[in-house]
Amino acid sequence: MDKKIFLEILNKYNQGKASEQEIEMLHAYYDLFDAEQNVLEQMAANQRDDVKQQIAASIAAQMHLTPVKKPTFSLNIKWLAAAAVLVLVFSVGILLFNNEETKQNLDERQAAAVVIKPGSNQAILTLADGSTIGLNEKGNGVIVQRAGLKVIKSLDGQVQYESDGEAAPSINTIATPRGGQYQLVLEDGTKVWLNAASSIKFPTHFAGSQRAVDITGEVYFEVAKNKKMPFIVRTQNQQIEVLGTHFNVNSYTDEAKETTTLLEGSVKVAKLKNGAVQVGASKIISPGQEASLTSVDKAISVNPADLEAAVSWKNGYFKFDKADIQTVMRQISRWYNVDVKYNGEISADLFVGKIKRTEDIAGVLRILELSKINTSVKGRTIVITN
Amino acid sequence: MIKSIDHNVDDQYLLTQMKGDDESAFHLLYDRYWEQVYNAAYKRLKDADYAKDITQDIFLQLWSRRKELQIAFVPSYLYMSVRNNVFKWMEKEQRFTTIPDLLACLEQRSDRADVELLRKEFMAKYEAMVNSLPAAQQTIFKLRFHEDLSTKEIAEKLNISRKTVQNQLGKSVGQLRDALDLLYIVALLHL
Repeated sequence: MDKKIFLEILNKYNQGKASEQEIEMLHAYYDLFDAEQNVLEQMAANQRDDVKQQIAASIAAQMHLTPVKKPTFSLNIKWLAAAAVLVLVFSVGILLFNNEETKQNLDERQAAAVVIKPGSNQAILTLADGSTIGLNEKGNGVIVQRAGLKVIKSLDGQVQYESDGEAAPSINTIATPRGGQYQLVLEDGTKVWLNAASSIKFPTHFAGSQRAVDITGEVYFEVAKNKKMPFIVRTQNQQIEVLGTHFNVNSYTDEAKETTTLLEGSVKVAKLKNGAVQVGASKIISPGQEASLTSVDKAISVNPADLEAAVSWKNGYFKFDKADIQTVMRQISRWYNVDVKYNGEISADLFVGKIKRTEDIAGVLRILELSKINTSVKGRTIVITN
Repeated sequence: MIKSIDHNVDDQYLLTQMKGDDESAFHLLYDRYWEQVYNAAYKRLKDADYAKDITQDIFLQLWSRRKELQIAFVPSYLYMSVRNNVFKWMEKEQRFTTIPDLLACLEQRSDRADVELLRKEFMAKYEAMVNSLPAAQQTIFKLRFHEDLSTKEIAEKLNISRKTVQNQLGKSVGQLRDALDLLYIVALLHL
């Protein structure tokens, strides 16, 4: 049996399409390995305990975060192995918590959920002449029709540009508020996802030698391939040049750094200083890596990326891997459109876990409470007390 | 195989407690079986991180689906869960250890008397699988995968076109199915 046929049979097996004989053959193959050594028996007792604790910790981190129905996640625990970091998991046991939970807390959270809603599909389109169109109103169809240009609201939360390529391109902007997200298909077929409090400025059709757009906040791109016209994304401090690829750019100015995370293809990240590309300081990254820039005066650093975390927002959840409380709350504040204040010293604890973006604020506050974060809510402000 | 472990409190009692959201029952089951789950995954993957991920996923599933799972016997449930996860991983990672390599590796372990038994079992199942193919396909399949002839060589030997050889090979892999799909669905339910 060679590899190719094995993998074909395996594929059928995993889809539930293998024959009885194939199933039995694979099971016998699986059982062959049974004669191998039990690796844990070869370890020292304390090593074995470490493995046990690492797995237990990551199970505990997810036990209460997930909907009971169908967990589709898998929090990678690689980093835990090396961690000598205090990890305060997002849950310490429902029983324990229920005893401590006061009715006042519950009422306050319920009341907050009436005022504070999770974000939704909403954005504002600004045309070249300065006129604006709200994109959150219901109803699909053609929303703009100009000479040679059509803007179609194709789905809830998505607009699509079509152009005959003849009329002179004009510059449009789509911006999401805090608590908003939106999708856009550019005239060349490039798909764009805007996170909350983000924007993109783009031409209604691409002409010349390159396709250039300007963004703020966090944007995920699936760039349509066009070798003759490189796609250029500019943030305040960076210029990212690509041919055709999938990547995420996080350029929120309140984050410690600008991060470009690459899922497919390759991109070149360069620094921009007063609008000029800093030649010689650019980095090319490959899939699975991220380029980050803390300040224009520092070098761009390239590191392995947590891809799942980088695009979790686009897939409908927040994912935190060893994130500090301020990082957690910055994301919550943008999506729920709330302000966050800290009373007392800000905790140095790090957090791990996931929260669905559709969770109402009462659920989010409860998760925070379970992680021993004291919260109270006043209007649209969440106060964290340490 | 995952062995049953004798305890004062039996597994079924713990499962019932767990259905009532008792986390300590879940932790007891974890303490009891994590090692066997981890070992079983590691044997196939030879990668500590993946073995950890699989162990974690299996126990998270056990917890998150505690209300709906009907588990008659915990060791066999865990055994099937590991196997399903390992096969998914092997497909994703395109991982295949050839049988001679695997046997060579196992034979170094003189303390395991069952290697020969496992090998015989595998060969029997493998032959049964090949024999379940229609005669024409079987011949081609054997020439290709047992005698390691290329599709071109087979075409020459049997005096048929290469295209036919390729089609037949495709069918061999494509047509071995049907009979026990139901069995597999049962296994999936245990995922």
